[in-house]
Amino acid sequence: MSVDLSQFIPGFLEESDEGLQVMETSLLALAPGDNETINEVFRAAHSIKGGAGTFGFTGVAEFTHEAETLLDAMRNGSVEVTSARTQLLLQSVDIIRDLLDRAAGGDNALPPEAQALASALAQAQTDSSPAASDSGDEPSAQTKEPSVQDTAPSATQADDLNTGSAIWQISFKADPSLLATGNDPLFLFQALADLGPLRVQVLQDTLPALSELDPEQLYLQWQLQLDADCSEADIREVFEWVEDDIELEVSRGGADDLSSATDTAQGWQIRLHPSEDLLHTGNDPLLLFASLADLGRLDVQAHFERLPDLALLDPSALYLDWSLTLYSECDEAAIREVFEWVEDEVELEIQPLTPAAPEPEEETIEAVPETAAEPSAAEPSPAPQAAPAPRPAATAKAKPAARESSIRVDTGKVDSLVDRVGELVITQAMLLEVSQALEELEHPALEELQKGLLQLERNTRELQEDVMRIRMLPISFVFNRFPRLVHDVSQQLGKQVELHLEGEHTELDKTVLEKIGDPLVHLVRNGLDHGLEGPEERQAAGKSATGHLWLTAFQQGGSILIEIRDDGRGLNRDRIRSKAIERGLIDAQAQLSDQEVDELIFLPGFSTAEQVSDLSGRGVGMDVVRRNIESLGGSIELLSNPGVGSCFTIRLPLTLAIMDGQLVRLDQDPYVIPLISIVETLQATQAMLVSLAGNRCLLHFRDEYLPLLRLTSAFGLAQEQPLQPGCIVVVVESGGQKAGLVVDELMGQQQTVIKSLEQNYRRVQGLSGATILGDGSVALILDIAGLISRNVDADTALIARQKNEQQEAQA
Amino acid sequence: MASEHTSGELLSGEQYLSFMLDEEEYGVDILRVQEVRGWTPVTRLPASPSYIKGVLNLRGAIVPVVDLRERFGFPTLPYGPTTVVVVVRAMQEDQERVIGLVVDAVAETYHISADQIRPAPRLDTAIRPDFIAGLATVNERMIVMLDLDHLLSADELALDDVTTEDE
Repeated sequence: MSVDLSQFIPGFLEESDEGLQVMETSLLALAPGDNETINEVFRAAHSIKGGAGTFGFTGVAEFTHEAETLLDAMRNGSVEVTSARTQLLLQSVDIIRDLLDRAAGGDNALPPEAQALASALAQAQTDSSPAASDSGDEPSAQTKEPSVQDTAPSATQADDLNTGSAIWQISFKADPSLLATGNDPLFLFQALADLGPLRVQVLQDTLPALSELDPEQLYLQWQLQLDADCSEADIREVFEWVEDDIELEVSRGGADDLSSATDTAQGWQIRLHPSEDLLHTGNDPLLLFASLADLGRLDVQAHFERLPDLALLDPSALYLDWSLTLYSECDEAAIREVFEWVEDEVELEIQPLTPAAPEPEEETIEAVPETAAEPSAAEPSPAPQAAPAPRPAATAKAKPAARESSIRVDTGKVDSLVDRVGELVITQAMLLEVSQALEELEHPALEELQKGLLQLERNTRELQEDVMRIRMLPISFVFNRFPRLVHDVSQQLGKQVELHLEGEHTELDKTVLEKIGDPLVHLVRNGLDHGLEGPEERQAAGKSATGHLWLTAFQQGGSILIEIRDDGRGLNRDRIRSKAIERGLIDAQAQLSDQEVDELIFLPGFSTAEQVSDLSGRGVGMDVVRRNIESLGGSIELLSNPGVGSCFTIRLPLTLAIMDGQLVRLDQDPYVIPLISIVETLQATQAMLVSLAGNRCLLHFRDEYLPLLRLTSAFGLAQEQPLQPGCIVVVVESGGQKAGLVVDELMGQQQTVIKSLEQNYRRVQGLSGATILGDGSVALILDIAGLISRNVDADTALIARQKNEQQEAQA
Repeated sequence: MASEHTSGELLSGEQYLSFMLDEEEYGVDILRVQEVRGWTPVTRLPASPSYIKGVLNLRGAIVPVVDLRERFGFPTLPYGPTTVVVVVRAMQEDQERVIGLVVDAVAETYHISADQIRPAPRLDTAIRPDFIAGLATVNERMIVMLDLDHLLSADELALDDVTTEDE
């Protein structure tokens, strides 16, 4: 293959990740008999397997195949859906994820745990169950697509249709160029299906050999049977727009020509899995099918699961699998003989057909002609066994596109768009200033100019918002992992927990989204581990045995709020208090409000877990959670009610690309302080300034001693001057630590677009980035957390704390 | 790949932009030059070596500005009307960085073929040898060819005060 496949690997990994997510979610929701869900899992597994095969990730492909076979068995009812099997499949999801990671790193071997699980999966496939015997009708009965029906309906079904007075037989032959005129038979059939139950049979006699096939032509014809109480005119009306391009025969009549085939019950079920190279060896599956058809009536169904995206598709390779049903009295050897020449390139499974209960796979009718004939069609029906007709034609097609209408765009492109728009905003602001300077001119065109500029301002602002929104993704990307996590953890802990997810569609900046996952996991684990009680304890407290955990996201102003709430026991304040005293975090006599006690858990070095469990006691405390959230420009609050539950509220900025900032002047340069970290700004009086040895200073402010940072000298912008009363101090807070920043002037507040310094230079201590002001000059953004942790020396911090404690003791 | 390289050399090997620095003429590959702009005040960067004059806004990108006199250890001059910032692109660790160089004045553009450039004898100049790609003589004038990637590598810019020990 001349295409370099490696460039598609990242895309595949990303897609697989989504697929695994789907598998996980669906498996957790899986109930016995829910074939729709099994299908969903199956499809996800199948595309991972297919992709893995394409990229030569043999380990992944091999292992996924086992999971897929089990899913297939569950789907066709040959094994029951049990929680043990579901659990097994959930474990497989983890293994596949791991294998994909390994494969991306070039390791295709199956580690022992994968091998063990693979054999467990294989074992689970063979267990037969009573459900197997009546599996025949089940899947099709549950297929919701109205037009997808069984060709071999049970006798009663066929009778119903035959005796019904309103059966229409419709023969539909389209001109090969029908697709080129923008018409799609599928839509026509859907319109027909609105009139009543519709059966569709495709006739592929006119299908040419693959080598002669033009993928934009329609070679199929259809025989339709509509069970509806409507007039012929109603039916003809559906075809009104295409009547010049089709031959249509509509007649009332029985259903015999559709179901007659099944009379020959004796026959063989053949599964054909050719290698991709089959066509290279000069073989054509069509010829094989033709030989088979000589033996008896042949129904062919193609499976498209291995079909790659159009971009990846090698037109000379074969991506199809087939299920063949041969109604013939011949013996197995006769069938094998047909495949004699290709036996090395084809995996062949031949099973005798059981006359009583035909397998669901052998059904040949589909309502989905378009996969056969037009590459651009969307996936018609969720059920793979309803996949359509039988021809290699489909090798020339793309896998049906995802149902969601979205595009994948490199984030670099979006970022540069954000930059461009930021530039536009600055240019627009500059133009506005110029127009104001021109006001004295009293030129008649000036008013027009200003009107235009106002319009420009509005448009640029809206454009900026729109562009920012491109980077936003629904929080469900993060929430998705929790059903599984809660399921696993609560089982491990022997607790009954119901998880409620709300506001999954709330959108967040992609970068924020990527970084909020771990803190959320930590909080949820904490809630499960410490917050929620076991069933007995809950019942003793008069609550339901099942605990509840809510994860809620919603937007409030320019922020996104995420709540993690449980109805558990709440925080144990006595224990927190004694722990804090034990750890030396607070004084034994300290008077603290309930809220203050609760917030002690955010202090570094605090952990209440009496025994270190492998769940939350991983050496990571709530202080890390808070620091991570603050590094995103957010904050976290806690509200606890003993016996009733606790609630953590995380407040996050909508985006990291824009920030509200306070502009200040240090010496001659403008700097930006993030508004979210500012507590207060004030003009220091003599009484507030407390000098210490070594030219250091404390700020005595609201009964608290705070370290003072003098940035002008710390940044080397100017010589250090003794602090004068009247100097301006901005009190900032980060990670629970407050400090005063001495600045030379307070300027305006404004929304700033955050730019990276690292892109062309490097990280600079004390700065988190830069922004561009209205006049086009650059202002630097202060990194408050970094400034406090680096510039407040331990000594000053200690003196401040001692002074605070002294003061409390006096009070 | 190979063909790309040769064509790159044909194009880039020929034209150079030269500028003046302390009475000497220096050349850089013209394809690396993004623009030349007059000196305008920049925003100072704290905690940076003195030859980093600060950052400027180049159509939305934050670009550091390096005073080449100071970088090379030449005596400094007050910036005047001819002082310009030559904005160049340098590759470092597979990342393209855009950096402004403050020089005394732009001089000429030259066509110089590869065989006109010879390795620099170590004694010819006070500048660190790894900053120099070679010497070229055009019209009996000597031009020092700069190696931008070395000159502006991250270590060089970051110097001794790199403290990025953030978690």
